Amino acid sequence: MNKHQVKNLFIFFLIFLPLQYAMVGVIGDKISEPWPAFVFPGFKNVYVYEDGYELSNAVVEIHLQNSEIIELSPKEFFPEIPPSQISGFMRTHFSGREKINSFDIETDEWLLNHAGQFTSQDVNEIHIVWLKKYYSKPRIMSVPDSTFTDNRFELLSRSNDYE
Amino acid sequence: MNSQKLDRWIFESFSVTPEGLGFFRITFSLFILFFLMPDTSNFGYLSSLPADFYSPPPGPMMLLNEFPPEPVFWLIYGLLFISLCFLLIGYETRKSSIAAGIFILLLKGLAFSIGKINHDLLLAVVPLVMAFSNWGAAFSVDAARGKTVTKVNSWPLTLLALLIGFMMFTAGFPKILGGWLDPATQATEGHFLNQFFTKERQALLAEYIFYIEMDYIWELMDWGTIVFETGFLFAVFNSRWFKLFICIAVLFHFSTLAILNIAFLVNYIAYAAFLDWDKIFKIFHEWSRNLTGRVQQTTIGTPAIYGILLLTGFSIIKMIANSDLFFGDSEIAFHEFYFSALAMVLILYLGIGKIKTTLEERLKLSFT
Repeated sequence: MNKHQVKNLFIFFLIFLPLQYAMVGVIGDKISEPWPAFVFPGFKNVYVYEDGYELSNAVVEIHLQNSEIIELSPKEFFPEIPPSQISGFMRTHFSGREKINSFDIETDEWLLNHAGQFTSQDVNEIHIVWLKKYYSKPRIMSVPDSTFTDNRFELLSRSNDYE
Repeated sequence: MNSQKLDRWIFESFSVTPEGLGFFRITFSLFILFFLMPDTSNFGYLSSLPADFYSPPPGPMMLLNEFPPEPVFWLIYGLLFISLCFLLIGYETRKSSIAAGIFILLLKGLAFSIGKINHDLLLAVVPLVMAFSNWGAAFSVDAARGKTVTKVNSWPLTLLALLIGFMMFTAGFPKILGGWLDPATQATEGHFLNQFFTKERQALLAEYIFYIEMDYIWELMDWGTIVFETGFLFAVFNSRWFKLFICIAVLFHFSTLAILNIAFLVNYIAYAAFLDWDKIFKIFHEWSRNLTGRVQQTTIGTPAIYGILLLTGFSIIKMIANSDLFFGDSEIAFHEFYFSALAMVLILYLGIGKIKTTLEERLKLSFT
């Protein structure tokens, strides 16, 4: 590359970088963050709620036919997914009714078989429960001050099949 | 910025030599081959996932409708491995650099199509950008075959600096919008608690930090993080400032690893591009010459000894990392901690050395 071409390349990047960042913002807001893009994670959240912090996490509930319930963390239920991706994976696929309702039979079967690995009993239902946990200041304890169920999604139910 | 200033910034910000770039190329290739190759253990798992779980980020991965079969993952992985081996020995260096960057993008793109992006783009950016520096001008098959010129370019380093600076800015800017500067919010503490409880990242200093009440320090961290991340962009236009920000970044990443248990190994190898590799080469060359007691042929001897030593060192570190001797249940790998700590010690050593030299010079001046 000659000097002139290199200069043009730099001018291109000086114009392109802010434009692509604006695009990342718009597309990220409407769909999800594009990739590849010249951005680092923003960690915009502050998690602050009133005088403390509000954290949310998901729990996978496997309801067995004998009414027993097995509770697993997403990390335990999907051990093959890298830890750095598990929260994002749960948010993308299991945090909205619309997405969950769009799962086809193949996905339901896959989830059922997957849940079967954790028990010898027949699996009746699988739920994803989103919890909100509150930790108040100034002395934050190792257990939350309060926890409440923010959302509960039934992924599949065998009992519905029999109805 | 006028045309002359622009020229100076692009072409004179950093200086490079064929030997220095050759040393960096060897280090970079081996580092990726040992520590940053995409994880092969979940190729089979990803390809077995139902199509509903294929959620590509907006971009080229949307061309696919589902995860490809496992052999496709292995094929790309194999091509990446070959590209990096070629890069290591400097065979068709420019093409193998570009190929390595593209194969990294492809494999990462597939892994991110699970619905979560990890921001390690620099891993692909470094070989793509450095391909144009002619980093195969020395210590390479290309050089031995006379297939390359000795002229090397420093402007790819300026471009890499611009990309790093801009990306850092994109990390800082949303924090301002999110309320990090509000004295009523201690955002860093919020993130610490999220990592500690939700992601169970409780290794290294995390447990000790948890028991400390320190609102002022958390708030200072909020402000410091934003000043550092957004300031990076402005430092790009002055190489001394940029190098200073790189040093701060090393300390910043180490503290992030120690407190939040998040490792940024990819960034370190990108920052390493800005080390004085020519000086490293000269010191190593001198050392190896003294060690063997004879004059090495720089075209083969010095880089060969360097490569073998690096290979041995990386193998030992990798074996320790694989043995799970340290950080048992934690997500932190031994090599992540080792290189973060090594970089921090190096920065502190160089920093103290620099301060000492400056003070000595000033004292000398004041006495004369």
